[in-house]
Amino acid sequence: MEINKYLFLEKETNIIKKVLKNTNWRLIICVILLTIIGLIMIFSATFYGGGISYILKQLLAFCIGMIFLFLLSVISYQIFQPYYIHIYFICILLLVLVLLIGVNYRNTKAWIDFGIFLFQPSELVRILIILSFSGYLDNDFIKNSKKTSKFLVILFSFGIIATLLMLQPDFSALVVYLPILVVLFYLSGINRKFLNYLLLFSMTTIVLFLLKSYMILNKDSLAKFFRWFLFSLIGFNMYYIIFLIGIGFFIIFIWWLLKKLLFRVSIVSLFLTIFVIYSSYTIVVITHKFIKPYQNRRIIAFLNPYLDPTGGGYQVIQTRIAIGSGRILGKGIFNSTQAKLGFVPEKHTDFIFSLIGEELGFIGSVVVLFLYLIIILEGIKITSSSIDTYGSLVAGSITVMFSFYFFVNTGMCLGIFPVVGLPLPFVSYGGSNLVVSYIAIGILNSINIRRFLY
Amino acid sequence: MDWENVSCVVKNDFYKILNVLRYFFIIPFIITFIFLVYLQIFRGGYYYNIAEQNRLRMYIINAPRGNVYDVNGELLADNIPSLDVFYYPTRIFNREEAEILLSILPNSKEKIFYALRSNRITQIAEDVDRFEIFRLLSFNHRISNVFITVGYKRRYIYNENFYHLIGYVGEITHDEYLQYKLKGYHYNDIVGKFGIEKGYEDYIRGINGSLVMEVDAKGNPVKILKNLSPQPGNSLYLTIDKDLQIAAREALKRTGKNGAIVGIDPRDGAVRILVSYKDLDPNIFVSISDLNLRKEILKDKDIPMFNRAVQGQFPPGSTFKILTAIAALCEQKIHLDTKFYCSGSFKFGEKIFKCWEKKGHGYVDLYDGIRLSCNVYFINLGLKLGIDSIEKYAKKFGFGQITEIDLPFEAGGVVPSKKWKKEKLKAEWFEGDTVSVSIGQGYVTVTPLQLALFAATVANKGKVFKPYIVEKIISPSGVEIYKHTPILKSEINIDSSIWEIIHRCMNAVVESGTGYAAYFSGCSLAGKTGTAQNPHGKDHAWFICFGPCSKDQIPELALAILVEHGGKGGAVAAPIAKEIFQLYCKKKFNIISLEKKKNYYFEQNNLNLEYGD
Repeated sequence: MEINKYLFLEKETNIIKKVLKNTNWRLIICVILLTIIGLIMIFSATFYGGGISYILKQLLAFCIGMIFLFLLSVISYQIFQPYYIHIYFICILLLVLVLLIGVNYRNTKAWIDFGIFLFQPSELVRILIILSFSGYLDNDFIKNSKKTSKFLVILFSFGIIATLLMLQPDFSALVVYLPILVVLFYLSGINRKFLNYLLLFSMTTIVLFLLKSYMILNKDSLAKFFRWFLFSLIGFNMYYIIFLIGIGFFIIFIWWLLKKLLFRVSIVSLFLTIFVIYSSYTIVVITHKFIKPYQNRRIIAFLNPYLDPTGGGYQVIQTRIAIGSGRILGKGIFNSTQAKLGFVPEKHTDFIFSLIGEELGFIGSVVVLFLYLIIILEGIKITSSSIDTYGSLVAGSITVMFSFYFFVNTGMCLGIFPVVGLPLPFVSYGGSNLVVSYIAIGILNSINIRRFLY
Repeated sequence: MDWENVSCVVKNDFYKILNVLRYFFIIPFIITFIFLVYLQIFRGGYYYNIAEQNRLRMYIINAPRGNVYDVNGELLADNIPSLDVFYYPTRIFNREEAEILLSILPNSKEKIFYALRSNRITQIAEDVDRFEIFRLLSFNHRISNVFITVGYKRRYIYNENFYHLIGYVGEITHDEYLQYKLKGYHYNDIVGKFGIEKGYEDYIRGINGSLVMEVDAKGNPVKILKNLSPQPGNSLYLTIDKDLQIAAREALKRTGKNGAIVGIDPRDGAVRILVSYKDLDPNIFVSISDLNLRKEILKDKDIPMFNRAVQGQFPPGSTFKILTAIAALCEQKIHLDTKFYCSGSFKFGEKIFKCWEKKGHGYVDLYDGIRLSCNVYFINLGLKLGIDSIEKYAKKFGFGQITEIDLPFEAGGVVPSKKWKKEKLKAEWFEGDTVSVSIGQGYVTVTPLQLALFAATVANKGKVFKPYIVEKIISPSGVEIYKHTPILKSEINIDSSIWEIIHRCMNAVVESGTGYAAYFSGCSLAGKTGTAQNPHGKDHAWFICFGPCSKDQIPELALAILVEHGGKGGAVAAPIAKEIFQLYCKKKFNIISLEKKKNYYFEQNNLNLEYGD
C-alpha cells in the first residue's frame, strides 16, 4: 500500500483517466509545438548536406521523450525525495563513467557511446541534481531554515560535481547550475543575508571586471560617453529621451525590488555593502594584472563586437545580421542565407534561434518566445500550487533552468551574451537534451497532477 | 514536506520570494522581445542589406567601348584585350594570400591594401605581363579570392594625331563617379575624359556585363545567380579625314611652333581637320594613371592639354579684313573703284598706325587692298563703317559666340563694341579702337575654329553651318542610331556680286598677293594671310583659305591655319595650306582615277555594276 501512495493517486484505480484529467495540457501543447518548430528548423538546416538522418534521430528522441513524459507524469515525483543521497551518487557515478569511457568530441569528453546513439550524461545529471538537492533541502524544511551548515554541504557537494564537469571540460553545462542553486537557496530560505552579499559580490566582480576590460581596450570610451551625455542635455535627441526613460524605470524597479525583499538599510549593511564592493574591486584589479591583452580582447568581443570584427566578434556580428535580416516575415523556410552559407555556425544546434529569426522572421521568433513564456508561467504556477515543499523546490528549479536556457541561448543569438554552448531546449538538435527536457516537463506535470492530493 | 505542516512565517516568506523571482523569470523575455523588435523591425532593412552583401558577389565585366572611324572608314581608335587582376578579400583576413599577391605584384601594393581595407572588389593590376599571370595561376589553390579576367584596353592607333579630337579615357574619379552613378557606372569604371570620348560618352560606352554569384562564408562560390554578358558600345564615324589630319599636323610640327589647323567643309560644316599642336599621346593615360607624369604634363610650358583650335583665343590680324571689306561693300560705303592713299602709315589723332609696307602702297582700291593686305586702306574703311556695323557683321558671321561644336571647353572669342568696352573695361569707346578692330587687332579675338567657319561661310556664300565632327553613330548590330544632317545656323543675305568680288580678291591673294606661298598649279585657292601682333612675343601667323574654287561649284575645303608666334602669315602659315591642299587634290584625283579604273574593269569584263563590289 505504500507504493500505492506514490503510484496511484488516492485510491483511484483508473490511473490514466486521472492523469489525463489533471495534466497541464497548456504546458504539454507548448512543448510539443516547440519541438515541431524545432524539427522543421532542423530539417531546413540539415537537409542539404546532412540529409534526413538528423531529423530521424531527433524524431526518435522526441518519441523517447514522450514516453518519459508519460511515465514521469504517472509516477509521483515524491518517490525521489527520500533517495536524494542515492541520486547524488548516481550523478557522481555517471560523471566518473563519462570520464573513463567517454567519447572525445570537440575537445570535450562528455558523451558515452551506446553504439546507435551518443548519450550526454551531464544533461541527465542536471535534472538529477535538482531532484537530489531539492530532496536534501526539503528534508526538514522548518528546522534548518536559517542554518548555514546545509548551505555549505550543498556547496561542497556541488563542488565535486563542478570539478568532474571541469575535467571533461564542459563549462557551458556548469553555467546552468548557478541560477538553479541561487533559486534553490532563496526558496529554501537559507541564511538569506549571507546569500545577498554573496550575490552582490559576484555580480559586482563580474560587472567591474568587464568594465575594466572595456576601458583598457578603448581608453576614451568613458569620456566619450560623458560628452555624449552632456551634449544630449543641450540638444534634443530621441535616444537620449529613451535612455532617460530607461534609467527612470530601472530606478523604480530597484526601489520596488528592495522593498519587496524587505531590505532594511542599516548602517552595518551599508558598510558591508561598501566592503563587498571594494573587495570585489580589489580582486578585479589583481586579476587584471594576470590577463594578457589578447585575452582581454576576447572577453570584450561580445560587449562590443565591432572592436574586433574578424576575430572574436565575428560570430556575434554574423548572428545579429542573421536575425535582423529576417525582418518581420522572414526569408522563408530553406531560404536563409546567413545560416546556410556558413556565416552563422552551429545553425541546427546552439544557433537555431538565429535560423528561426532569419527564416521565420519576427513573427516566428515571437511565437517561439511566447511558447517559452507560457512554459515558464505554467512552471511558476506549478511551483506555487504544489502540494508540498519538495514539489515547489523541484518545480522552481526546473522553471529557472528553462528560463536561463532560453535567456542565454537567445541572448547569444541576439549578440547580447558571449558565445556559450547552451542549446535551446526542445528546439535545438540534440537527443540527450531533448529527452532530459521532456523528463523535466514530465516531473513538472507530475507535480501539477498531484496538486489536489487532499 | 507538505505545505500544510509548514509554519505560516516560512510559508509567507517562500511566497514572497517566489513573487519576486517571478519577475526575474520574466525579465529575459522582455529583454529578448525588445531586442527582436529592435533588430528585426527597426534595423531589419539594414541587416538585410548586410546579409545580401555577405552572400552576393558581383563581378562587373567592363564592356568594350565603341570604335572610332574617320570619314573614309579608317579605324582611329579601338580596344585591345588586356589581362586584369581583381582581388576581393573575404571578411576574414587571409595573410598568406595578401603576401603572395604582394610578392608577385609589388607595384600594386597600394591597391591591395585598399582592397583589404575597404573589403571591396578592386582591380589591383591591369594589362599584366604573361609571366606574372602564370605565376599567379601557379598559386591558384592558395589565392582563391584573386580573379584574372580579360578586359579591354583602349588603343589610339594614330597616337598624338587625334589627341585633341578624340581625347582619351581614364579611370573614373570620385567626382565623376558621383556624377555618373545613376547611369550605372561603377567604382572601377573607365570614363571618357576629353574630346569626343567625353562628349559622346553616352553613345560610345557599352553596357557593362555582370556576374552575380552566391558565396559561402569562406568565399567559395555556391551558385551563379545572374550572368550578363557585356554589350559593346556604338561605333562613331567622324567627319575627319585621317590623311589630311596627319599631314596637317606634320606640317605644323615641322614649323617648330605651336599652332592650330581647322579644316571645314563649306558645303555642310563637317570638320575635316582639327589639329592643335602641342599635343600628347592619349595611350599613356590609358595604361597608367601616373601622378608624376600628370604633374610633368601640367608643368609643360607649351600646355599640351590645351586645345588651341577650340579653346585658344587669338587676335585674327589681317584675316579680319575680309569681314571689314564685306561690311563696307554691304553698307555701300565704298565702290569697287574707291581708292585710298597709303603712304606707309596712317596718322589718327596723335597715334600713328603703320602699314606693313613701309614705303606705302600708293593709291589702293579694294582689289589691291585685299591682295596686298594694305592696313591703311582698311583703316579708312573701318573709320567709314564705324564699330557698330563692324560688330553687326562680325556677329552675323558667328564671331564672339561659340560655334556649338561637339568638343568640350569651347571658347567664344571677343567682338568688341561700345557696350562691351563699357561693361568690361569701364571706359569709353575711341575711334582709335575702331581703327585697330578694322584690321583685326585690338580687342577682337577669335578661335581658329571660328576663323575656319568664317572662311567656309565666305566660300559657300553666306551659309553659317554648325560645325560637326560625328557623321554617324552605328550600333554593334549595324543599326544606324544617329546620322548628322547639316544644321544651317543662319544665312547672310548679301548680293552674290559682293561674294564674287570677295572671292576674286581672295583668289588674287594666293595667285599674286601676300599668300603666294600657297599657290600651286592645278587647284585654284582663295585665301587671306594674317599677321597678328600680340604683346606676348613674336606675331602669330594666320592663313585662311578655301578651295578648290570654280565658277559653278562650292569649294570643298576651308582652312584656318594658326602658327603661334610664327611671324608672317604669308611666309609661315600659307605653305601649310599648300601642302594640305596638294594632298587633298592628290587624294581626290586618286579616288577619281580609281573609280575610272574600276568602271573600266567592269566594262572590260562585261560585269554588271549593280552586282559588282
